[in-house]
Amino acid sequence: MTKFLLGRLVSGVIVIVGVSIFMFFLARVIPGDPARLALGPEASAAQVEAMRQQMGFHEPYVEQYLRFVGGAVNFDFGRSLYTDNPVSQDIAATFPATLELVIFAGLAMTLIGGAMGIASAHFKDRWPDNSARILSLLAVAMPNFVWALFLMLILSFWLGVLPLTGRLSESLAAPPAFTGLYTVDALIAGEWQVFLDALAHIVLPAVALSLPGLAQISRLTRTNMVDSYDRPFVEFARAYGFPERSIALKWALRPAIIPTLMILGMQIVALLGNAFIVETIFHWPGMAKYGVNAIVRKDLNAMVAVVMFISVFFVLINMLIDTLVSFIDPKIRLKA
Amino acid sequence: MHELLHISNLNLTFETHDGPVHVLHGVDLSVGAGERVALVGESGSGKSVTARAIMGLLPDRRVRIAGRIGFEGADILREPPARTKARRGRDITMIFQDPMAALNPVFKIRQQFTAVLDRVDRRLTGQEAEEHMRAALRDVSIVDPGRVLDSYSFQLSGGLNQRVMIAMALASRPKLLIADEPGTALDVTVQQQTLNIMGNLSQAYGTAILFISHNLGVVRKFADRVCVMYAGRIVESAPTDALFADPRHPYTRALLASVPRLSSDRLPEPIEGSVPDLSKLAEGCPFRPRCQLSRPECDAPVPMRRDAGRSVACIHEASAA
Repeated sequence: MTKFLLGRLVSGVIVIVGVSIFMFFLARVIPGDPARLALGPEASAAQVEAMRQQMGFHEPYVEQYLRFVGGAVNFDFGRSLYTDNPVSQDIAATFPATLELVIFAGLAMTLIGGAMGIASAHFKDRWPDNSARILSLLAVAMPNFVWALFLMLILSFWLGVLPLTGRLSESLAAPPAFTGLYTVDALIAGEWQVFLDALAHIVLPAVALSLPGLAQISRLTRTNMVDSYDRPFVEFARAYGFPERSIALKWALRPAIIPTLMILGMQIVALLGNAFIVETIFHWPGMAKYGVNAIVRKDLNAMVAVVMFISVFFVLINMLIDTLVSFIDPKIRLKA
Repeated sequence: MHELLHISNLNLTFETHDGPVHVLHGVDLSVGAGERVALVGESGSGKSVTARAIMGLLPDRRVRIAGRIGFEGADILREPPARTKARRGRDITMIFQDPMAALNPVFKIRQQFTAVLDRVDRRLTGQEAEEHMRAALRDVSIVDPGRVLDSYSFQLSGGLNQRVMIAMALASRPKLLIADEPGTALDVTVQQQTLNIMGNLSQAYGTAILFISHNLGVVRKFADRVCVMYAGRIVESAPTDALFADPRHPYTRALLASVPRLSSDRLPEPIEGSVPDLSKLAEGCPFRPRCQLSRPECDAPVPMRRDAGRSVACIHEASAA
């Protein structure tokens, strides 16, 4: 087991180093002068040149890269050319909002998608299955932002049951920062009203963000559960009178859930990417929006830092998932 | 002998997209307490479906079923489904064709055996259950029950898995054990070993066995009585010795002639033709298209002729006997 995790860690580090090299050079070879873009058309040539000197853009790439790595391991990614803050400070300010969104969307995706898949397989070809099928089809066929606008229109604008945008109502102050996740911080501080308000704010963006992944997880779980139900070990369970509930949630589910878990890692990371659209629509002050703005403005340091952050997140999530899978699938665990 | 299972006039139809398929036509079958009855026939003759009907394991949405399946006085087809379900794993248990596939690949043998025991007696403590399982595994000649309980099915050999299945099947000391082509997936010597274990234990516990097989050679050593099934009907039923000495139905004779023998120079004779399409089956003898003795009268419904513990469904029987 330790060997297995160590192997995963090593390959994770390789992925992160690879991404860092790729991103670092990519950011420097794409056309456009970052200093000019940052300072605007009004700046004089001397000012632009001064900034280029200051950022070290004249040095050889390898030297620049080594300096970058030296900073990055200390969580120092340099200054943003645009906000003029240290990039790490910008990320610290925006990442918790995105993380909170991704956690909620990830939970919705896994739990609702999984439950839909299980129910679909259990009631195969009956109404719960058929409605889940239509729902998944719609969730995949309509892009995130359409769903986001659609949900906003119905639940916020017409029915008024959920707030339209933002992380918190303006009348409320953010809870004392501890994790940066408003819902969690509010619970820690015991501020119920803030918790409920933050929860109400996150429902719509999280649901809109989760839908494509939710549909995919539901379909995959259904397929594998249906396959599982046809296997002799389920007939065995029935022949020995195991309760139908334990067949659905244990004996048939456990073997069927492995492929779902395997794509879960990728789905969660995809949430980070898709978060940009949702963050923009819901005015969610998150890192995805920050990252896309950095790319548009060619804010080199911010761009590289955000991508590094996402790749570290990806590696961590996948290690977590791999560990989980190895606990559930003995064939993987025993081979390791 | 006290009658345990009594099936009479069991008719069963599957609803499929291409219309109904008549799988069973008036099956009569009975198993006495402690008796070993073999149900023999080609693939698709309805053996496994009969077994699943007894267990109540058929999907009720696609199946129409008529007749009577009596088990200890109760009628399985008319009692509340909960009663049938309560019987599973206690009074009736089942052994499957491929033990490796019938055991769940992501749970240890111990977890699965514990779930089986939980059906037998809910009040067992962990310690008692463990002792129970170890004893049951030793009974099927497993020398290291601890290791087997800690294993997953894919870590054990086919023969070991089969013995684990037998131990699970007999843990509740059931009245009836349905063995659906047990060990067909195993090699012959291992199959024979496990069948011996199953036979000896079931005898000790007084468990009756309904043994489903397409292998007449295996059946001969194992069963007290043999029922030959063809196209959803029992065509002949007789004590094992009598059946092998004097097969009366042309299908039984053909089936016996098709078994290869080591002790003879005679080559096995295949049965010409194939099992009829069950979706369009007429009245009359289902074997007629493949039968050398077929006559126009064979198109009429065939009555079951019974005498002295034997029965056979063939109009030639009266003259041939």
